[in-house]
Amino acid sequence: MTRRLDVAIDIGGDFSDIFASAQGTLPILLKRPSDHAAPLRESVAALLSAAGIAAGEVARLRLSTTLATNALISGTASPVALLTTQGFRDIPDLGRQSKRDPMDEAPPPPTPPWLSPPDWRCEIAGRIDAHGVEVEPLAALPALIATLPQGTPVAICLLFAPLNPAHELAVAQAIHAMRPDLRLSLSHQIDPGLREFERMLATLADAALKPLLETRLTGLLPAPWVLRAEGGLAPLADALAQPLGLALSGPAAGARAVAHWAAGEDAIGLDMGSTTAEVSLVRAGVPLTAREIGLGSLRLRCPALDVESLAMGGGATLALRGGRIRFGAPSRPACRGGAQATLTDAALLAGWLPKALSGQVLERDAAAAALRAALGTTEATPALELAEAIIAGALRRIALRRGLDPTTALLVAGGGAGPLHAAAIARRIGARRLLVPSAPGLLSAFGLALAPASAALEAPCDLALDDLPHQQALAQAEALTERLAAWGCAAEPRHSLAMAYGGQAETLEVPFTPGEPASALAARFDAAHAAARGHAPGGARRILALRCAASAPLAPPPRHIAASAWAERHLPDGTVLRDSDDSTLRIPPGWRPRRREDGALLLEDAS
Amino acid sequence: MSLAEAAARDILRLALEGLADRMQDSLLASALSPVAREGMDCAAALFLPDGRVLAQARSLPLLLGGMIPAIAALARAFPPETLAEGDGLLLNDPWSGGTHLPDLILARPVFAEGGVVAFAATILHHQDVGGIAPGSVPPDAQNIFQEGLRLPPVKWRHAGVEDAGIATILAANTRTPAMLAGDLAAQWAAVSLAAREVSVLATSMGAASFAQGCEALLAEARDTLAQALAALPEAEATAEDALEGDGRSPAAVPIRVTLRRLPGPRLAVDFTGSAPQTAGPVNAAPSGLLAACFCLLQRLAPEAPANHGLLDLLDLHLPEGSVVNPRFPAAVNARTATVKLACNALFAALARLSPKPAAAPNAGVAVVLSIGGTDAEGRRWIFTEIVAGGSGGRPDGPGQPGLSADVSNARNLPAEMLESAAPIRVEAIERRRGSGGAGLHPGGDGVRRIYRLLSGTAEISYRGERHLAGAPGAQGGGAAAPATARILQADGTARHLPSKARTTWAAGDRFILETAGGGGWGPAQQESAQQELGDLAS
Repeated sequence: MTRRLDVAIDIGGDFSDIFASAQGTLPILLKRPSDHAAPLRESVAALLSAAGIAAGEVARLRLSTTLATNALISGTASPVALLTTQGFRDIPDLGRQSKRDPMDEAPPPPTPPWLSPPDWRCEIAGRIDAHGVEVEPLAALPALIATLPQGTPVAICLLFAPLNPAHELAVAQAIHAMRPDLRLSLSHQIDPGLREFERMLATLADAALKPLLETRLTGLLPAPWVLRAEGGLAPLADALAQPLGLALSGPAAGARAVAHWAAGEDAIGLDMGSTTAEVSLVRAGVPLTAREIGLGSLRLRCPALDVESLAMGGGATLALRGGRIRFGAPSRPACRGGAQATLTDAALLAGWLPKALSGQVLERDAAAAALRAALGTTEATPALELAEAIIAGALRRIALRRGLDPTTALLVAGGGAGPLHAAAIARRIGARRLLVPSAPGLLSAFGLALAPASAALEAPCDLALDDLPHQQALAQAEALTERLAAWGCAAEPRHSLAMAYGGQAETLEVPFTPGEPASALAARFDAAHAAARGHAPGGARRILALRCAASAPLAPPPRHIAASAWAERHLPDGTVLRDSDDSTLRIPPGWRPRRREDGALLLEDAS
Repeated sequence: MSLAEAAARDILRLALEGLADRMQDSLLASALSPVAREGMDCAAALFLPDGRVLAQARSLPLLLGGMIPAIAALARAFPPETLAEGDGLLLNDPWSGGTHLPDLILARPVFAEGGVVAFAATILHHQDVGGIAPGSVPPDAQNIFQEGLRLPPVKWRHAGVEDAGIATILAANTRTPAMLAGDLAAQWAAVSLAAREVSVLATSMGAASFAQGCEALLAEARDTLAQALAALPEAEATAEDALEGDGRSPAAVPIRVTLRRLPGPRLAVDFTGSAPQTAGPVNAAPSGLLAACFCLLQRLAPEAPANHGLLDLLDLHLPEGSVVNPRFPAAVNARTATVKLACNALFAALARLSPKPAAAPNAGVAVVLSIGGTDAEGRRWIFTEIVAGGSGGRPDGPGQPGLSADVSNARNLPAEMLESAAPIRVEAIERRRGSGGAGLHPGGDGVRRIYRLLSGTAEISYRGERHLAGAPGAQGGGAAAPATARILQADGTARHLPSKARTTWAAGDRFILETAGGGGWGPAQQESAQQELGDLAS
């Protein structure tokens, strides 16, 4: 009998991972370098064959990919035509007028120039007001639309569309009637939040991804389920209708895995690979969500699992500037044939890495020469400590901003470089417990194998607490249940409200059960505010958005991975190093390791 | 210094800067007033017990630098040995180191091993602290008493408990008491968060080595700046700019600055030759000029930690009784333009002194607009926003439209937020095409914002600049177009506003604001210059 495998494939920047499982059998795990030149169909076929899986054995294909992320960062996605409210076509150039770094006198433009060419912008008269009421009827379509090249993606972003989408829908209908070939992204569907620049940018980015992802992702068999930034899977056709959701698909898979290993606890995930370190957050076993994602210099408003990417992986290059160590763009480590000194080279010189990794010899002499050239010394410790301090600082800021206490949370370390640095980072942030999952290098693929199918709805509003939108919440739940039923899934809708004290701009998400009294919600919000921001001034509480999310598992969770075999080494200072296939775990003195029942290794700070 | 010592120093610097950034995050998340939460008109920093600045959040240089003399004044008024855990110190008085009255500065001492090891401090532009105009920035004020409530250094919290008397006085002297209380609570939450964390950090290092580490960071800033200064020739350069009137009279108010690179090396910044203090409110308290100088020093040594070490090499001379150091009780609320132009003059002088090619001047002004009114149902509304002009063309590329520059880093107010807060229709937010100076690398455009009042009446406090002449170009680049502001009445008549104005606004009328562009860099090619002129004329 043929095996019926549930196959999860994570296409990363450097490596692609596969995690395939069938009920009752041990999962198949594999890591291979990514080949971005090949069509996706061929890459997937090559991975399957390397893992010894025949095409006919794939019962379900799950995919997470860096395609969308890379296309937006590198500017290889399509330029987009913009249709917006009269008087607002320059919003992409004006942005929010401020600079991320106030001392930067030539910051990157608010919208990358390739994304929204000036000749492809047009305006339409007609207004919806701040209450969602039409105050000026919609005018006729601008002439530009007729002249756009075949298949051009178009972003439609009209003022206050999230409060009343009538004008955006009418515009979309009119365009479709005239130019059915154009691909449309409507702002109220992509990002139903107020503040026109942020919504416009998200809508432009969504539209920019459409042509590329349609071309790259269609034609796979079986049609894959793809992981969206919110951490849930959607059938390919649904995902392609809103491709912005596919940005940060890979990191979302990692965050899913971190939440799984957190097993009900608060946790901070550190998934450190060769180019970046991804930080994710988990409260009581549930991954935290965010409203914004960062892609290079772009900040895009998009519902996502709360994952922040730091430019600090094992490949971070080292240089000396004014007597101080500074880190630069990632490169292949000198010990693996690269030209520049990297963090990995420093780790090798510190004695942290084995003589060979994944069958490749690590050239100590090359590492030493590179470090001497970059820093004038082969002393590796300062660079390693500084890198760990930078990650620790970012980790603290990210955790505390979301009200998660780094001294009590569990630190979950994955990725090729995570287990090497995590204990030292844990000590810097005051975390006393560190968890290293089995096969930490395959964190994302494992998370992908765990991910449920899910979908979410959001409606902006501005309501007092006494006007709880019970009926609207129930209607959202019904719509979602229907959508998931069409995917063949039984859904469990969960409701939440985005709340703030009157006047505040940043909301907090508070769970909500339709029918419950306002007083219960008030108390819950005050407590959440106190936990996240250190005070709860009270006063008018407002509801600024109504959200509903539904998710359903596609398969029973996969069997646990057997703990991988390791070889142990000892350093003179008492550090213990455990080398396994995909990573090295560094246990500084004072940490006590203990194998958990699920196969993960728990390290506790006994000092 | 060994690589290990350098790394340890970097690690402390990261921890302190990270903390300052977290204070800023916390402030932005909780703040209520639109100018603070949308405009980011607030800042956070850490100070040593004697008031020297230790680390700053990456936010708004104008306020970051502006806090420096204020915290020194608080530390003098309340010596560390008299302070208790949970004390909160408050001030906004320009003659005690404050900026202008809406900016309340709140500091909390940080304790470790039983003593004060630092101050955590925030500054936030509150919506209203009284005075003769909504928003407390009256462009026609003649003295500080017309600008609102003045707080010399006071203890607002005693061991965590709010002083009931001060709270009552605050609530009685603002048009928006709930917002003021809420924003002050946001400031308190931010400094409390940092106080906890700095205390943990200092305790874990030991108070003595924490203090030592901080001194090393100050020394690093000083040394880095010394290297940068050594690259400048031992010479002096002067530059001058001028405000277009003080809000009460249109007479020009010159601001003159001389930079002298002294042996040592040190840098003298001398504002001798600047106008005497004015009757109108464009006078800038010394804190603002210190912020401008701090910005200049950071530009000279961008790698240096932003702390008091930079100021060790600065000799700042602000002539008493001048527009940059006014005597009590001068009006000071419209100081932003003065500080921005002082910045412009500083950078122009540096461009003359330094052998490195510099960018063309930016628009040189950020418009501060406060509008308050009553809607058809009799409800009061109010908002303040800050609108930037273009940045200057650079040796390596064009300027950008509508970008906060040098000491300012304010965000704009989105149309969707503005219309949600006031009975206003925003008819356009757009680039003023061609308003940036022509050039090989053109200056960035100014911004045009068009508002229509829908109901009731409103009062506009407009504080602009550069209405008479735009920013000059550099290296043969063209000058930028100047700024304008006008009320376009429903019947079609236009009423032009001077660069500082307080005026009423009737329903149905449009208020049209056009900020200035940035200067162009390098000679323009023939065709593109004509193109720019054509755009400007249309």
